[in-house]
This record gives sequence, structure tokens and C-alpha cells, in this order.
Amino acid sequence: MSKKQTITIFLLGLGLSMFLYGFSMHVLPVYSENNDKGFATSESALVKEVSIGGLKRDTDGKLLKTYTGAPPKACPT
Amino acid sequence: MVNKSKLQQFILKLLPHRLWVQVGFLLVWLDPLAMRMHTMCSPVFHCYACPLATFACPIGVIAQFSALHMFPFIAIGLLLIVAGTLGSIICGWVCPFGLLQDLAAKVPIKRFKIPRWMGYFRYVMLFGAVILVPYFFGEESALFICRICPAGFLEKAVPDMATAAVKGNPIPWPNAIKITIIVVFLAAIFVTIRPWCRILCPLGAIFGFFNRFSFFSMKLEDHSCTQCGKCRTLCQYGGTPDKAANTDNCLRCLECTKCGPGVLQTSTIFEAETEEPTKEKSPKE
Repeated sequence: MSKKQTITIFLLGLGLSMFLYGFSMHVLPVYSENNDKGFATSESALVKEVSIGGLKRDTDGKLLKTYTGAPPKACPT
Repeated sequence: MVNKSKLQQFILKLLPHRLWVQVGFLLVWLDPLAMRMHTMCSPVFHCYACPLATFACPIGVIAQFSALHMFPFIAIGLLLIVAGTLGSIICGWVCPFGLLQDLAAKVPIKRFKIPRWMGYFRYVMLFGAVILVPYFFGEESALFICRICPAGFLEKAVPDMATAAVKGNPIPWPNAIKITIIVVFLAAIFVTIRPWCRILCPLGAIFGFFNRFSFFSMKLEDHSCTQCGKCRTLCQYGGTPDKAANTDNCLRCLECTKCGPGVLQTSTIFEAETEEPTKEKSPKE
């Protein structure tokens, strides 16, 4: 097997591993004004949140929801 | 004349209908079933703020995750899978923003050539506006990709302005920078071919970079090439397929595979890897 073919297989394997990890295992706590403990939120849910500008970091480094109640319809940027 | 593979024969049948393939993919990206699946990224450049967006834009997601100091496993993983499999064939056949520019290119006016070196600005855009600026300055920065992206303007701001105008509400005009960007973009797509894809698209930078490693590949039968230069004429994006068929500035429209002797063919990296020429050539006059 040549160097290029090895790189191709490695890239595909790496991509698949990252995708599966992000989709099924990667979870981060997201806090809101009414919740100090934080909700464990999957990465796919985080993708949806960032697509509407629904997350920010506070000064402590915690992930905070930018809204309460109904989510915004679209990202403000 | 080189024997054509079955894949190449299929591609040659499909080539005259490339525009319709791109239009067909709009049914995937424009959310006709109103599913709004923004928990998943698409592999194309289509703003997630657009009212007609099935999936999230991978570039927007990477930039937002960078601004929040998180690693986007889903977006990067998806792009590695797609880029590692197809390379920039996504740009040539699937991307709706590419289709928009291809449609503008149908207008019969004189076009300017884009120098190849300008393609490196795509990497500046990728590492600057998508990764570093969001990471260090956050999404409030004026250079954050979504704030300067023409797709966002066309797919979100324009529908918002039109809706407000129809309803008789005050029109939400974008700032002067965005208006300037969109005016330049709209002018550019009529005076040159695919300016965004070839000069600034950060997604195109990723796909283009992986052209040399992707499973789907271009095969050049170097020993059979007559150096007629027809492939260069066929490439409307200013490429030199006879010099190197899998370079990062290739959008893989596959038009060059129509060259007479058939020395350029679609293939897989397991067949094509040994066929790249080793020295630079120039076409015969």
C-alpha cells in the first residue's frame, strides 16, 4: 500500500471516529439562568444551539444559554 | 485512445446534465419537507440562518464552536469523511452556492481570469475568519466568518428584508460592510467564474486540500497524453489538469475528462495513485 493510500484510509478512519464520537458520546454541560447544575447536552444538540446563536461562555468559562423560553429563530450574526 | 472505465463512461453520460444534478441537490439543502435538521451539518456552503436550510452550515458551526472554545467533532468528522471520499467534487456538483455562481456564469459577458495564487486566500479565510478570529475575539468580531459571509446575506438578510418590505414593516438594512461585500460578490460572479469558490471559500479550501488524498480521484494516463491542451480549454476554472489532475484549486467539475484521447479519467486513489506525471509540461500550440 502506498503512502497516499495509507493517508486516505487514515483520514477516513479518523473522520468516522470523530463523527461517531461527536454524535454518540461527546456531551457537555450547558447552564441557564434557572439551572446552576447544568444539563448534559449532546454535541448534536450543541450544533443546533450554535446555529441559532443560543450559547455563550460566561466569565467562569461555563456554557450558558443566551435565552430563556422559546429559542431564537435564527443566528443573529 | 485510452480505454474508458465504467465509472468514466457513466460520468461522461452525466456531464452534460451537471447543472441539473446541482439543481436536484437543492431538494436536499432547501428543506422542502420543513424538517429543519440543524442538529446535523451538511457538507455544503448553505447558511443555517436561511429559512430554507435543511442542515447546519459546517463552516458556521466550526466558527461558533471555535468562539466557544469547543472542538466540533461532528462537523470536522463529517468533513473528513466527505473530503476523504470525494474531495472537491462537492464543490463542482453538489454545493448550492456553487450552483448560484455557475448560473451567473451562464450570462454571456467577457470574464476575467483569476490568478491561481489567489486560491491561497481560501486558507487565510479558513484559519483566520473561521478558526483564529472566533477563538481569540469571539463571535462579536467584525471579521467573524458569518458577519462577512455573502451566503448569509443572500440567504438570510435578503429574505428578511423582502418579508419586512411585503409586510410594510421597517426594512432591517445590514451594515455598510455587509452591503459592500455583497455588492462586490454580485459584481464578481458576473465578471469572473466562481470567484467565491476559487478565492475565498473556506469549505472549498478543505475539500480542495484533500483532492490529492481523496478516495475518488482523477487519473492521468501520462504516457498517452498528446499535450494537445484541450483539457485546459475545457477547464473553465483555469486549471491545468494535464500538469496535475488532483490539485487543491480543482473544483472537480470533471469537464476535463471530455478531452479527446481520454487520458484524463475519473478513478479511485487505488487505481490512479501511480499515474500522476512527475514533471511539468506545457501544451503544444
